[in-house]
Amino acid sequence: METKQLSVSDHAIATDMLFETKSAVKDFAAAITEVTSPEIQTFLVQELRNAIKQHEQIYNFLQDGGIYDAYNVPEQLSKDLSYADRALNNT
Amino acid sequence: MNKILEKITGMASLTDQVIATDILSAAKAEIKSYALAITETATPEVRQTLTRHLEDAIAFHQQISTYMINEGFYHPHDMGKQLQVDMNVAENAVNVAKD
Amino acid sequence: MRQKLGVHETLELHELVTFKSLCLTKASLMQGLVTDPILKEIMQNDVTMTSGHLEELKNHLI
Repeated sequence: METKQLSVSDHAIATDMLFETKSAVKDFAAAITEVTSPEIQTFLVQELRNAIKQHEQIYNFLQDGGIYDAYNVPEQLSKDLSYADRALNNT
Repeated sequence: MNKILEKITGMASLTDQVIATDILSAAKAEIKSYALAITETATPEVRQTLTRHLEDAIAFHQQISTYMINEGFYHPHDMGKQLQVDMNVAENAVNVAKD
Repeated sequence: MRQKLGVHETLELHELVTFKSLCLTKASLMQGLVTDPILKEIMQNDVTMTSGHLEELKNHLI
């Protein structure tokens, strides 16, 4: 798979979105277990579905861009370490 | 991107509030991630490192949340005030996204 | 050091490395937007702390 090099800020924003959508899915799921009103329950379930869709979208973007490869762990690890080096060198 | 920057840099205190809130949620997420990771450790050195990082993260969470309380961004002891702040933040977010 | 770690440990560490790298990049990018000097200082603390943590996490993985 070819890896197109995203700019530092694009990479940061895309990764941020991945983490945010991950948290959104968890937060909505947790909130649903605390809900009593049926209207809010329906709303939160809908939002949970949206969050899962958004996570899928941004994940696919990162995978298609060759930034994340869930099927090749050693390769992913070395990519993550070079991402860490990039972050350390940018400060 | 520039348009957004222009818009938020024109509202300096708002930018500070948004950034502080972002840092606060990152600090919260960090504490949870470390706590979770510690429950998966088997190597003593790794556990030691992660525990130390967790303590640092908790201290940092205190720094940023104290700052937000002092600035009036965060009212942990006043639900009514907090709700008002949250509503304003939400409204501003929608407005920034709109145009 | 890496061969001594369990697979689950490696994965957790790798998740933390990604997360901290993101925090570090964001903290340094956003520092330029901040106006309040106290908040700036807190962010500088964050950058220093996160850089140190990231180096240590990396050392466990290399």
